[in-house]
This record gives sequence, C-alpha cells and structure tokens, in this order.
Amino acid sequence: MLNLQAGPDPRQRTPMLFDTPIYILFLGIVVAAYWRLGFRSQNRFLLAASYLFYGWWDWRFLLLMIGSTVIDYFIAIRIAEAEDPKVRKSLLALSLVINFSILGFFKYFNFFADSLGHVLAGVGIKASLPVLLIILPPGISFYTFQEVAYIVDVYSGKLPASRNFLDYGLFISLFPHLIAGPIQRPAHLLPQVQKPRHWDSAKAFDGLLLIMEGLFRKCVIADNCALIANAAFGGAFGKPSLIVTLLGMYAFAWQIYGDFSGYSDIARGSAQLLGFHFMVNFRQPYFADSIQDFWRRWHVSLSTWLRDYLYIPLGGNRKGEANTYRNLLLTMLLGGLWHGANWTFVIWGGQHGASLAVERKLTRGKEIISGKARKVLKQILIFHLVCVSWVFFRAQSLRAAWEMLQGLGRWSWRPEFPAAFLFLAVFSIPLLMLDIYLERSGAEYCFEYTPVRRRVAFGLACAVIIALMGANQANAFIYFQF
Amino acid sequence: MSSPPLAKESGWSARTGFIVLVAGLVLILLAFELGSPLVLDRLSHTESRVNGELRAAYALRPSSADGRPTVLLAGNSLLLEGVQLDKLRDELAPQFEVTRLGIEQTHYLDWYFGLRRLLQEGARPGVIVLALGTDQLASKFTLGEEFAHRQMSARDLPLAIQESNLDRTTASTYLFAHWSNWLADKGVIRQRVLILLVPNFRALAGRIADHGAHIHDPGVLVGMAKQRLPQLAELSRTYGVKIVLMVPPALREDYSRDIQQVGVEVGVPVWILSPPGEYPRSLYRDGYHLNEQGSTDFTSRLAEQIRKPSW
Repeated sequence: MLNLQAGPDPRQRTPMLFDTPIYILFLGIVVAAYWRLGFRSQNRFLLAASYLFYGWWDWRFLLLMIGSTVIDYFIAIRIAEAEDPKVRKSLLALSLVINFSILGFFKYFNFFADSLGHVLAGVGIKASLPVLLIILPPGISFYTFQEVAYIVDVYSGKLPASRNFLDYGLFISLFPHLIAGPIQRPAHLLPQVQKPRHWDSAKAFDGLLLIMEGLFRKCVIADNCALIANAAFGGAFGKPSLIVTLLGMYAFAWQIYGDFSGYSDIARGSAQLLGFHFMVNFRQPYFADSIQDFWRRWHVSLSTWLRDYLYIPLGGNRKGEANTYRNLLLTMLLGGLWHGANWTFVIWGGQHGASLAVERKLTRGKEIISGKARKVLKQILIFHLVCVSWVFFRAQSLRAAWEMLQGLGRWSWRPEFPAAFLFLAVFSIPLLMLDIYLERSGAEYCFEYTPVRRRVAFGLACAVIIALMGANQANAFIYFQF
Repeated sequence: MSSPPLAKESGWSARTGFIVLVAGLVLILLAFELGSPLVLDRLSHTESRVNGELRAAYALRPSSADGRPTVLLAGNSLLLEGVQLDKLRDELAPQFEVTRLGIEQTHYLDWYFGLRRLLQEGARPGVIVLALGTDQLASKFTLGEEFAHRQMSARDLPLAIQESNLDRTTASTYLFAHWSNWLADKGVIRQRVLILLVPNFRALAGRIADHGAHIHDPGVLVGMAKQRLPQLAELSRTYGVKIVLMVPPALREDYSRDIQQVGVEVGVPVWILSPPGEYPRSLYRDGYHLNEQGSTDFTSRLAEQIRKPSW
C-alpha cells in the first residue's frame, strides 16, 4: 500500500506551523505561563514568545522585523508630535517608502528584474540583469500591511501614536497573527494590547473550539483536497482534460478555503486563549451571490485593508464611473500582486477586478435576478467564476494555467476518476455542510450557540476525525508564503 | 466572540466545558497512542508484515542456529515485487538463511538510518543486501514521521537533521514522532479509513501519492553515490557487517555502471544483476516494478549471485 505523502520536501523550510506538535506544545506552555503573570509582565512575556516564534524559522529575519518595527514606532511618534502638515506628510511618505522598499526587495526584486529582462529581450536588447538568491521572510506581507495601517491611522488622526515600544512591538508581532494574519486593524488590536486582560473561561472555551475546528479545516479538509489538486495540476492524471481540470479546480477551491480559513480559526482561537479578540476573516465565501459579496466574505481582513488603505484613497467610487472601474481594477491587481511575485497572481487579481467592474456596470446596485432559486443559481455561477480564477492562483505559470483551462475542451478518461471525485466529495461536503450551518445560524464556529455539552462533544468529535483522517504536514499553510 | 442570540443553556458552565474538553482531548490522544499499534497490527497486513520482518531483522546474528550465514534483504517495493522471497529461500536454503525487511516508498536516508538503528540495537546479519534504484540512492526524501518512529534512533536525530537538511519545525516533529505511536501511524490509519470510504482507493492512491521527484541527472546520481556509498562503507566497518547495494532492473539508463565504479573505489559492492534496458517492458508491471515473470527471473539471478563465493 502506498503512503499518500512522503516526508517533507527538503527544499522547503517551514516556520512553526499551527498544525505541528511543536506549536501545540509552544501554545500550551505560553498560555499556562502567561496567565500567571501581571499585565506588564504578560506583554513582555508575549513579546519574547512572539519573537521566539518568529525566530524559530530564521533568527536573521527576526532582526529585519524588529528593525522595521522600531522605524515605524519612532516615525509614528514624530508624526504625532509634528504640527507642520508638510513634515507630517514627509514622515508618512518616508515610512511608506521604507516599508514598501523592504517588501519590494524581498518579495518582488527577482520578479521585476526577470520581467524587465523579458521586456528588453522582446525589443531586441540583451540585458544580463542580476537575479539574487533572496529568501522571502514569512509574514512580511502581513506585518508590513499592519505597520502601514498603523502609520496611516496615526497620520490621519484616527489613532494616537503608541508611546510604549513594548505595546507597539506586541501589536505588530503577536504570534497568532504574525505569519499569515488576519491583518489586525490598529484601532482593534492596539487598545487590547494596552489594557489589562483577565482570564475568561467562556472566551478560552470558544478559543479552544475554534482551534479544533481550524485543525479540522486544515488537516482533514485542506490537506486531503490538496492531494487531488496537486495530482491534477502536477500532471499525475495526465494532460489537462475536462475532468482533470474540474477535479483540479474544485479540489483547489476547497483546499485553499479549508487551509486559510482553518489557519485563521487557529489564529483566532490561539489569540482568545490569551485574552485577545481577532477579527473574523472568512464568512462562508462560497455562498456569495456576487463577486462583491465574495470579497465581503473571503479574507475579510485583507479586502477591508485594500478598501480602506488603497481603494478609498485612490478615490473609491467618488470620482465618476470610469475612475471607479479603474480604482477597482487597480486595487485588485495590486491585491493579486500582494499574494505573490508571479504574473499568475496579477491575472488572478485582474480577473477579480474586472469582474467587480463588470458586475458594477451591469447591476448598478440593483438585483438583476431575484428569488431563492435564482439566488442559488447566482451562487453557483459565482462559485465557478471564483474556481476559474483559482486556476491562475494555483498554476505555476501563465502557460500552465492556460493549458489547464484549455483542458475544459478536451475529453479523457481514467478508471481512477470516479474514486477521485468520491474522495473529493468525502472531504469537501463536510465543509460545505459546516458552512450551511454557520450561514444559517450566524455562528462563528459550529454549535457556538448551543449548550456547552454539545460544544464539548463537537470539539471531541473534531479531535477523533483529525486523528483518523488528518493528513500530515506535507502541505504547509498556503498563505505562509505570502 | 459576538454575543449569542440564543441562550447557552446547559448544566455545565464554560469553565467546566473547557476542563472537560481539555481532559477529553488528552484521553483521545492517549487512546490513539496506546491503541493504534495494536489495532493496525490486526487491521493492516502491511503493518503486520513489516512489524514481523522488523522483529526478525533485530534478532539476526551472522549465522543461523544451524550455522548457515544470514542474509538480510532490505528495500522498498522494488524489492518486495522484484524478489520472490519463498523462491529465493528455497534456492538458497542449503547454504544461506534469508530474511527480508521491505518497507514501501523508502529511499536511501530511510535505510541508512534504518540500518544504523538496527545495528546499534544489536542486529548482526552476515550480509545486508540493500535494494535501491539509483535515483532512490540519490534522494533526500524519507518516509517522514513513520521513518522517525521506526527507523531513526533518537541519538541519530542531529545526523538526520544534517543529512535531510531539516528545518526546526520538521526536526521537532521527527523528535515527537520518534516517541509517538500515533504520529507515526496516522498516515496508515488514514489510509485504512479511506479504503473503507472510497471504492478503488488503492488505484487512486497510486496515482496521487507523492513519490518525490525522480532524479535523472547523471552528475547528481553519481555525485550523491560518491557521498553515500562511503557512509555505507563506514557503517559496514563500524559493525563488521558486509553491506551490498543491489540496483534493481530498470527500463531506462540509470547510470548504475558509474555507481558500481564508485562502489569499487569505496569498498561497497554494487550488484547489477540486470543491466538497464535488458529486461523488456513485458517483464514489468508498470514500467518500474517487475511482474511475476520478471521477478521469477530476477530472483534466480539474485540467488546465483549470493551463491557466488567471490563477493
């Protein structure tokens, strides 16, 4: 009998992943020690624990993060103290340049150098541009956005600058959100860091259940769906054809949803065990009945960040129709590029931006179709539009994405296909059912509004299912690379 | 968390719920820790076979009770499907006692550390014949947690980290898995459940399993052999056990002749009982593993090779 996963790919280095024994041990020790300390000591201890969590991957990049934190801490204070608007604006610009330069260097240097090389080659200029061996520090996209949000909020007077480096450092580096979000709003998290926190059994109980549900989403749903997605996109089922492409699209749709929503649940649950509250990051996105609705439900912490710090400053919908479409497209293109330095992500973002613009043009805020059955049809349509966009997100290159989509027009058959669809159904239907329950109940996790005994039973059932069906850590959290 | 629209009526408070949930999780973990080896040994023929073969391998001494030299055949599915154990035993019965230890999807590092542990813990076969394809000799993959539990000794963890270039997270998982039955068994547990849930799952698993990337570059293959065959030679010297590398038949060029030359230089015999491309495709089940007819012929060649006095 074949094992489905070999050991870890030695080419990949992983941070302290939430679904590993070391994280469970780390979290247990931190929670146990943390609640024995007084408020200030709690913050000091958590900052040290968060730095240990980050440095576990590579301590050199811890220095980069600390450096970036220190710079923004002092710039924010200077912005708050400065009265001259020009000085304030210059300081804001300085912070943005520093933050985006660091992000740009680590994440996009090779991408732009490579793309420029291709453009120059296209016009007949042979240029040997430098390609550096740059390692992408985990979480850099997330903590950079959080720092930028803080600086912008201080500049616009929405938030006073923190005068305590310990508090600010903890706000940036609090370990549950450090590597892959949810991107916390300064006005939401910073006050929580600055005020004493007290043990609350109800919050901790909710937190533990969120962690269990998150592990179920990640280890059972995402990691199993990943096997089909990897096989379809990796060519194990042969050349892309209608069935291969559908298998790959559907499998990846459930993989990425289970993966990232599971990660977010574990992050939120871990934070709650420490007395913090993180914003909800996913609200049953595959029940969206429009692309706009999808972005109100998918990666909410990013979509609201893009709205508040990019789309609205660009003018939002206040400067006429044409500018609104431009702003939508630009916001989503940059949102796509944020996910990774590859044209596939740009196309993915562009597809969403264009869909938002077309949708706006067609509906202009009105319902084109109404009625329950029609709503379901719209949901199915939007789900498939999103699935098509996932092909660009998942494929290694534009050519591979295009070949995958071309497969929709080809037919092939293998005896393993029925088993593959059944396998996918076994792992995607439970998440669909869970989402139906959450959508109807308005709960943030399964059975939230039910008696404690039932919730205990749910948590234990999750544990048994994870023990029986959980895949191993061969598939690291997708968003850790962003 | 937002305030609930419905009353959370229960005889239990959240505090009680928290405590019961934590206690329940610990109990579930303990149940899987203690129960998984017992249950798997009964449910899975493969687990049962491997455990039996491991016990037999640990008990090996240079000679059997009746004085015959012992031979341990170690390897993966290429060995399991390429060599008919009963036939080999019959052919060699008067002169040798043959024992097999076959674990599917294993590569060089699984076996380097597996043999180290076996020898560290007292096993002393007369000869070890390690069956690996040339790309498996060069591979940096292992069987993951299962490897850490079954084949890696605790004291070899630093060496395993170095050889596999493990990051801290994976290294820590290996450490936990070394001591944990459940972490090691969970992959097999999941397969058993999936076999029950998904008809024709075995065929699907063959398609979607992660085999790791195949290595074809002769520079890499020979380069890795130059690193690794001396490790086997060192192991051989340290424990006074002869170790032979046997390269199973391959349809295409696998550069085994070059690796054989490396073996001559470092003192590890490399057996090529069928040069690459010699066996036609009709002797393979899937282009990689031999079928019944192929394995019958290959087993005879292996028996003949073992009987040769020269090696």
